[in-house]
Amino acid sequence: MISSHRLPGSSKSEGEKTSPLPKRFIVIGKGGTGKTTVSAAMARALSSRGSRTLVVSLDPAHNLGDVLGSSLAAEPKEVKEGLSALEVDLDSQVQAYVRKKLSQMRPIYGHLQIFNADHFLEALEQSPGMEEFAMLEAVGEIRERSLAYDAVILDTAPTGMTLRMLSLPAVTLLWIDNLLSLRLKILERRAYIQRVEGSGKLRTEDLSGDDPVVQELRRYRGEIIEIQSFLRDTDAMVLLILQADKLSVTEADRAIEKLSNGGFTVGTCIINRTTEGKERITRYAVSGLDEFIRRRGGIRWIELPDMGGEISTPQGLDALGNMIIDALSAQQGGHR
Amino acid sequence: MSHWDILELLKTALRRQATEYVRAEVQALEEAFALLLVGTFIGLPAPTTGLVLRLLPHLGSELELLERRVAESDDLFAQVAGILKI
Repeated sequence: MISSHRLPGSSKSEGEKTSPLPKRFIVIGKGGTGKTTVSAAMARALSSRGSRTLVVSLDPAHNLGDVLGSSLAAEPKEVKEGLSALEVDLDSQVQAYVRKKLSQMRPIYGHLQIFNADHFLEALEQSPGMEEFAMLEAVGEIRERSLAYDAVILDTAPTGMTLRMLSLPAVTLLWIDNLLSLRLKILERRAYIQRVEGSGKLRTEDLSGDDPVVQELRRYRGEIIEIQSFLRDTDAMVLLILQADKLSVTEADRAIEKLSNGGFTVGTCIINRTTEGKERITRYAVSGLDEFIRRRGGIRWIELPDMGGEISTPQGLDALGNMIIDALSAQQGGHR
Repeated sequence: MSHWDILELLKTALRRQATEYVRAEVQALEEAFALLLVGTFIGLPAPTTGLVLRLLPHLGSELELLERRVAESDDLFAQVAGILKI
């Protein structure tokens, strides 16, 4: 029973050789649609079925711990057998990173008047893009941790921020490639000057492949590609959560568009808190969900009932989680 | 002076001239590189924050160069004119 419900690739013996990364679920949706509840429910269900599971909250306003009934920190904490959870602390992530860079830069820039490193970096902590960047760094760390698990669930921040975070790798790679080609041009010319003049004035690292800037660019490129494939490649699945209300449907529609521009495919949408009978028909029509479903023909749908107060109990979460995992398994089975 | 001496002299002169242009090009490229990273100060599109943070510790000399260029900017036209032999 247990093994038959395991998702494809989640079994260690199968996945270890071909793909060392676990199955990843990236749960996205508008604030209040139930991302955290769905993440927690899936995590509980997967761990009950024997997958070592890690569930991570990337939302700056955490409530994963509240849903799981356990206070969480930035380090993984075992909340039940086979299930660990953590809440990424973006503020301290930013601070730690900036402090580290500051200490590296002080000796180099201390004497420069135009460039006050202290002020620059203090301002950086508050600058736009910093949170998304910290989130991406956090995903990089989770990627490393994830090797010890069979499944990882990312409960993300509200859509806008998550979409910016997910688009960062592609934008960064574009910059890296262009800066790299510019840098190589500089090195090539420096080498040319040295060859012609035979002067010993130029630093030797300028001429070989060990220019620190080129090295850093190549290193970062490698890291970004790893993060990108963690978020995007085989066994990574974006789950978009929405409800039968107009704002949620419109936002989901936009999110799918932006995700596909960034190379992400939304294979499955979860419609949360659905009702029955006439009310369902009316709400699906009024919110535009009917039309949305028709238009997005390639997407698979999972409808979850409104669990009411029951959802706040571990049993309620397990029931919801089992519904989602069963539906996902059925879809994947049907798909293959 | 032998033919060989004249040839050597010519070679040195040509070499100096050749690298002069490349030197100017290297300097312009280095400035462009540094400017791309700190260009937000003057409204250029900026690379992602993470990338800038990664590279800044290695760019001491590039930023010094920028600073020097700002200090010498009075004489910028003279420099350009010098390079182009106007």
